Amino acid sequence: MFRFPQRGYCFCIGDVIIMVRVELKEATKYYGERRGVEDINLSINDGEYLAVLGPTGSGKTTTMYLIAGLLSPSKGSILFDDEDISNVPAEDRSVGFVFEEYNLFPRMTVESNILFGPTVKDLNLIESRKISRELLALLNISGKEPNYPDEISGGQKQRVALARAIVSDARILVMDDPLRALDAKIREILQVELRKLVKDLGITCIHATHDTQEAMRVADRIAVFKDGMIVQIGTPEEVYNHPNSLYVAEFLGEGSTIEGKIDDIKEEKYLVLQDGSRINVETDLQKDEEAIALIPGELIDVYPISMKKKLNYHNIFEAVLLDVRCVGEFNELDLEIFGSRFKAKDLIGKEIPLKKKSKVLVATDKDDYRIFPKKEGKMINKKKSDRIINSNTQVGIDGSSVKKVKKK
Amino acid sequence: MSEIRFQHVTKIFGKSVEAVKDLSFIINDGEYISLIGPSGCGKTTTLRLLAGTILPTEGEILFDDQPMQNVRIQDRNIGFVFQHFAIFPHMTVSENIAYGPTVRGRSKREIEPLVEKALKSVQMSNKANLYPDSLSAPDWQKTALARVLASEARILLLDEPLGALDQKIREEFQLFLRDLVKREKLTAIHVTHDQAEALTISDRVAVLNKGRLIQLGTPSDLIYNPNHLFASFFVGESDFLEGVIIDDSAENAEVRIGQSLIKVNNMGVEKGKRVAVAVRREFFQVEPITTKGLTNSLPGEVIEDKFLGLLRRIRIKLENQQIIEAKIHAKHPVQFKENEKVIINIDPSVTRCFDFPKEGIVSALEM
Repeated sequence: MFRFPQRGYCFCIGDVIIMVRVELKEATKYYGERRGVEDINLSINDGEYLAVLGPTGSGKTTTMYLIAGLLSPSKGSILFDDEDISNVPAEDRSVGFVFEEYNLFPRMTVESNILFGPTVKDLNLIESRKISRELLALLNISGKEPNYPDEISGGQKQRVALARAIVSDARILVMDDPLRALDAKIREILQVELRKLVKDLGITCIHATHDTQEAMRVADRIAVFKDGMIVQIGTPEEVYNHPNSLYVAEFLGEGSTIEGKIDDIKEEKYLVLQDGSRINVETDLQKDEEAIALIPGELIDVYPISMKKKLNYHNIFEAVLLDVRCVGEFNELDLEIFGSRFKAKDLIGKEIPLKKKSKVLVATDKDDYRIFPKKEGKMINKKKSDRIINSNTQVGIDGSSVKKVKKK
Repeated sequence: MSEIRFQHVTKIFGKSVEAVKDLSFIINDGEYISLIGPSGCGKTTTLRLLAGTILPTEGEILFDDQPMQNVRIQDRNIGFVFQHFAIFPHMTVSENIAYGPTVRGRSKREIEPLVEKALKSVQMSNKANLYPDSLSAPDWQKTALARVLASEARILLLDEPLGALDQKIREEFQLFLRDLVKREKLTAIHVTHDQAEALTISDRVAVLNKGRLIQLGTPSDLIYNPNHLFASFFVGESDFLEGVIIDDSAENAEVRIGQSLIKVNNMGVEKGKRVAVAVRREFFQVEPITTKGLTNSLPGEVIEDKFLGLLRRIRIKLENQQIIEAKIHAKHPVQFKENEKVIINIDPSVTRCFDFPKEGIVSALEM
């Protein structure tokens, strides 16, 4: 395989940027009988930040290892810029890998840790040291070069691990839940820093996480995994607003679910609940089909009971407000509607003149509900599913229809 | 009754490591308190002092006005739940729960109803005869909670009890835990590094940093009225605008930020002083440059408009090159473009004004 000379970074004006398109074609990995991943088709564009999202055991780490070359696929292939590298060893793939554990050498200083790769690869050390300094400055840890790992904090260690992964020729950055071991606050800060770094350097990045918010914060696109397969892939907005299954909807957005039967009167569709309540919804499901509706908390609007005549919504129900909690950027409201517990979210900043245990009005529009047939859990909403198909073809295997953005 | 009182409690490890310093506060009977702060802030030390596994170097801890200095751990009427599920793998769920009362010498007839009640309370009655290895992580934690209930402890100490659970399960478990504590009328002290968890679950939250209590207040106190730079940094997300006080005479003080003047909450900071104006990211109002009628605003340029589900995060560069992040509702009608000029309007009443730390914001907060 062609080896790139040590590359310049995009913040070094005049140098060429080398970015890589990563493709997985029907990549499958079995550990003996057990499935790691199956039939993964994925195309990650040059300079794109992709988040791989799923619960523990959904195949995230396997996918990361396949791309980095720490595992080889049982079937299928992995391509970098159309070249099959399935059998190229990890050290020749120019992939920088960041693990959940920092894996720094405890007896080496920060700088020697970072320069370890360039040293064993026999790269120009003067140049590498310069890049290392620039990376540390970008990561807000300038001046820590002479320190040892046990003298710096967890967040700083992971920043060093990141610099080390990038400094030696990495064209692709693969990160397996890199922030999991860190405190929530430092995680928030590093999410923003990570995205900024990847975008500034223009490298291709794949980041596995089980945290939906993290995936949304860092990534251009999100691939949602379940049981070793990709169930949906798209921009954060697509997967969040137009989930293609109940699984994706529940994993991405905190919401409440209700079950019922579809009924129609004239053009309008209704979800009829067991107690006879009717909710106006938008769906392509037919009359009498059993359905599950999910409504994200932030789409539920709550008003005092006196407002009844002033509201203009498709659905207005009376509910009991069980609890109001201020949880940071929004208030969480526990409501009892139709005998079950619903959670609404309201951005703070607004006054809520509502009292606990009081009766309130819950207002929703018909397109706020995501309706899935009870059996399959698949999205049946024509307009929305069309959009999903479009987004899938846009990012399809050949990657050709994808608009390429290269930085100067 | 189980009111807990800390009086000037200091704990020094070895010769000079001050793990907690001069802690004074009261936890009311039946209250759910969380301790939050970065690693090394003293939250676990505080919990251990309560439990009695370590004793204060100075000061006193009282339970219902009774000094605890000479009271043994087993006599303090407390129960523990840790991040790592300390349950016996060779015992079934109900045997695990019965362990406490058994070693205390209770008779079998007394223990049975206790275990049954505890199992019911944590919704594990149908799993009573299973062994831990066939249970999921949340069920282990429920077993640990049931064991505390069966031992009839009145004070529940929780050290990162949800730390090992996945995000999604954590969120559900938080509500379960709060309900349980309130239903059983326990006094709970919960250590976590996750501020969202603390705000969701507690009646009041204590923010600690470097062994000191920074602020103890209700979740909405901490969000709306943080009384310290660190509290406003650690709870929620804020940006700190650097400026100089120009006028401190009115109810709202006037601050110069870059070329602009804005009004901020007058918190008694003197004229001429360098200040850090803390604004929660969700309180920035971002509008297109053409918007009229915004009276307290700063100009800026959009770097990125990123969708986050419930919210969108707009990164904006201000005139003085400082980069801030505004969080706006995902349904905000305007989609901002890269390099677009915008106005950031700030309601003076939501700002907090603190002395600018000498060493700079980044090192003062050790980000």
